[in-house]
Amino acid sequence: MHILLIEDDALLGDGIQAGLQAMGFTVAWVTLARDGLAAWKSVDFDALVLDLGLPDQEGGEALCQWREAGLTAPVLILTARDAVQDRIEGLQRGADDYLIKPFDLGELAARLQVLLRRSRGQANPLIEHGRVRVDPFRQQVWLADQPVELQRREMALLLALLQSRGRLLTADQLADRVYGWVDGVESNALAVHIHNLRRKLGSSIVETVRGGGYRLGAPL
Amino acid sequence: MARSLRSRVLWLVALSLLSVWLLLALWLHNTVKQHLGTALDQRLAASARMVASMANASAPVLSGNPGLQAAVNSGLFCQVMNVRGEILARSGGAPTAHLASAEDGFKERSLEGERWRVYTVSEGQIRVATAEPMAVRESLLSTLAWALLVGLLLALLGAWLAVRWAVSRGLAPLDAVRKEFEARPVQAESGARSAAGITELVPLVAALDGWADQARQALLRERRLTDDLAHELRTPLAALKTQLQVARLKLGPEEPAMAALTAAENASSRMADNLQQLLSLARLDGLPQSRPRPVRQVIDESVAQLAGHPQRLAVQRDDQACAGMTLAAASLATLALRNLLENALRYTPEGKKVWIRVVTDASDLHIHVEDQGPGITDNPADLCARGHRGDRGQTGLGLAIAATVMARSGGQLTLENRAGGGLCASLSWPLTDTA
Repeated sequence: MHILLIEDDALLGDGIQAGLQAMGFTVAWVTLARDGLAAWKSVDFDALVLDLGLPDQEGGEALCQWREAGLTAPVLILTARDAVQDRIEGLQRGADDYLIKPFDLGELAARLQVLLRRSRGQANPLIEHGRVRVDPFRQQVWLADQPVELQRREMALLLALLQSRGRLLTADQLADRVYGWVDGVESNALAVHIHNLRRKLGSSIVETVRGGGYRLGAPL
Repeated sequence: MARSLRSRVLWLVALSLLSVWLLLALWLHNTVKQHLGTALDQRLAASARMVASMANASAPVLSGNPGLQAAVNSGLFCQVMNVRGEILARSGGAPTAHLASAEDGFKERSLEGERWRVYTVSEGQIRVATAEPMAVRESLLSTLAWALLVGLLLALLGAWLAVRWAVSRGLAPLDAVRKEFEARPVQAESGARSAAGITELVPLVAALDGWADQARQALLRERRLTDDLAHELRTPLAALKTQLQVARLKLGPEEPAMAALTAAENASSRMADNLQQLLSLARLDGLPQSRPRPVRQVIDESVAQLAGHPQRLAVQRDDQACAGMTLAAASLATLALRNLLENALRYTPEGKKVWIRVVTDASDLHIHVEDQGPGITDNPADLCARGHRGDRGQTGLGLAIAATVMARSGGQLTLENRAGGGLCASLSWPLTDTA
């Protein structure tokens, strides 16, 4: 699951990024509203985590502009302002949920999962694809009701494919979702993860489109 | 006690009216009395002179003369004497004693037990005395005085009613302005519309608006300061807590540092709680008095504020007793109750319950929060003091704030160990503060 985090506090941003990554999310982190806008325009994110107190622009104001400009991804705002009026204002400006600082990382992850599920019109927290069943929140996978151990990157890859709903994803798009914006990813690293995923869940889970990229295979 | 402007105006107008009326009545009474006396005297003298000229012109006149009778009707009496003082004639009903005084002119005399106003005139060989009983004159005067008084009193009553109506109409804009200010929330911007165009009220409303504006600005500044403070403190606190959680996620449960990390995370949570409490208190000081709300709604809100608390489902309630009742200081009550609930949950072992029970007695409404924790060994007054550290190392900020809030809302916080173990913390308000 690919999350764009816009948080100006270095210590907090670093903590959220590390925490969410440890829970299976792929997190791109920027510290300014304008970088957030640029990131959203260049990469397809599943959700945004937005701090309201940004140095270059007030977060709520930025969100309002982005929504007008066509941002449809769910947005969770982080705010230190807990007055009811502030919360109402945040939601009215286009946020889907809010968390008041300080918050629990587990709660942030759970709320993000709920937002993603809701944005896809999916009531069940479990994602099913043929014999494969995935609990994105607990990071658990079953094949024909048998639990399967997946590495963090493999899990991110599987979720990216499941959430694309059969849409074609280029190798770059997949790498973005799996690694975020990390330099120095080896060119064959993605191929290794795809190979492992096929080995653990059956070769038909990932379909290779020659010269195009990858897509989710037909359910078995 | 507040003094009424309306009563003040009414009393001042009434006193001024009454004084003017009294002076007018006295002056009228005296003037009428004087003029009436003069008129009656002139009648007495004219009668005497008429009788004297008639008596001189003819033979001695005897009683029963028709001319004399004509002159002396209407309560006048007459005696005709010669120079030696012998009574030659007298009108019917006139006293037998001598009416005439030694000298000519007016005189008041007492004869045969009655007071008389007598006029004596000498003309040639004849002396004539005409007389009128003083009682007749006085009765006439008093009848006149009464008529005057009743007239004035009726006029006074009419004037009082007219003044009352006029004052009440005249002060109506003041009432309208008061009602507008009462209904206006502190945050509202503009002045009272009902004062528009009233010369005396425009500066008053402008001055009040000036004050309200200053209060509003101060409130906004305080809110902004509180919010900025919250932001400044909460963001590093969030960073601390998040980093600790990340460290815990990355370490296995058997790592020796795990216990230290858990303790540090608990400490950061407690710091966040304390910060929340301080901010709540700061905001309460800046808030205008809230409107009364149903007691059940106060309980609902306090419980709702526990959202996110791991043990919030342990809270049970028995609030039948307060159905339909409202609390005046609802916001303060909500904060106090939330603090008691958090405190109770902190010391209640897993699987045990915390009860909210509402009880009313003859004079008070009580909201009891009963837990199944270890109870207290410290003095309750110490526990409610700011900065107190309990025997388990906890800071009593929550209880201190609850106690402060209760004092401000006109209620009371009491802490008591329960007979079967655990603590009962009670919030009580006099029933006059409820409805």
